[in-house]
Amino acid sequence: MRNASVKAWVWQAFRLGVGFLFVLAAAGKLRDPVKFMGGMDQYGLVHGAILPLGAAAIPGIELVAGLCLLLGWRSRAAAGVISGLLLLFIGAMAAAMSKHLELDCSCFDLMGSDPSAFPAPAFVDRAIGWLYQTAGGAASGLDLAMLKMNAILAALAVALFSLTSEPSTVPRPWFWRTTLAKVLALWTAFVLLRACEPAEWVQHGLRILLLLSALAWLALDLFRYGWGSLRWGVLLGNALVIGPLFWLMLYKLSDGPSLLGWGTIARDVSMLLPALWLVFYGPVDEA
Amino acid sequence: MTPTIECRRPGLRSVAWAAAIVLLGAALGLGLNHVSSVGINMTIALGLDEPAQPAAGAQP
Repeated sequence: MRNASVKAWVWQAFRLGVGFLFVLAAAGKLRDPVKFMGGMDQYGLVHGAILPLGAAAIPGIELVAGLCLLLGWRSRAAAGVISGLLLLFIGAMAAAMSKHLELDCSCFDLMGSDPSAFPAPAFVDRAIGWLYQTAGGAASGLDLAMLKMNAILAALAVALFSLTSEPSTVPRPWFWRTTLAKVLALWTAFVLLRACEPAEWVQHGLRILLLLSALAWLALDLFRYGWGSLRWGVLLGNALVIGPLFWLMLYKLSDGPSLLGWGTIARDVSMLLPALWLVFYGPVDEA
Repeated sequence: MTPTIECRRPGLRSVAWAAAIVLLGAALGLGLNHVSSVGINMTIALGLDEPAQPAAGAQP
């Protein structure tokens, strides 16, 4: 029984971790597909029409597969797709290394070198800006853009790990699981919205719609499950311990020094192993 | 509910769903690129903006 619960925990952690990283990777590429195409071109492996078509299609595939994993829908098939992509990336990097090319892998480029480019809803921007002013952040020399990026990543990390630490042996409402799915769905919608840059009134209307949807979802869940389903102790523990660790990992992946050669291959293999585990050890009722 | 977990080879159904995810993702990626103002300009990238070269010896 204990073995089964550990496996269930590992399954949740792998599913959410790999899914989240792939949604992040896709969001970065969708923000600047031309740059991603340039990155692909550096490898010298793809030419002609396949280059622009592949550069446009790959982020979409990453996004759909990552979301499937996060939402737990067709997770084994999604893990198979992600394994295939990772094998492709590892092969491409190995081929580049064999040609003595030192390339940035172009895998995670959510922020580039500018943290102010990090996608955040306008109301989050305003709330953090207000807190920054009130707390005297300008006088302390703290960078507001960096603070905003950290706050959002830490919040996402806390939400993610609150879910994975839910005891899987206890049948209970999947409150946090569904809440995280909603948060990430809203965030992804926002990233896509920013990436596509539609007309101002469309952006404004969609922002209000997303905010109202989030509040309505939260209110409905609280009404259905009650305040007892919010486990503040676990939330706080994760916020203090796992949140910063997860943030550090994401920060290094997204904005740290470029991973070249063996570093990229090691990172891809460390994502490939859990993805393959999901393919072969995923739940039996999932395709 | 606790998910039941055991090792098994992915079946044909998983492969079919994987193919569906790839197709859906590719369509989404190309669609988003098409509506995005920062997307890749496929007309230029695929060389569709260049006028067709007249065949050798063809009359104008």
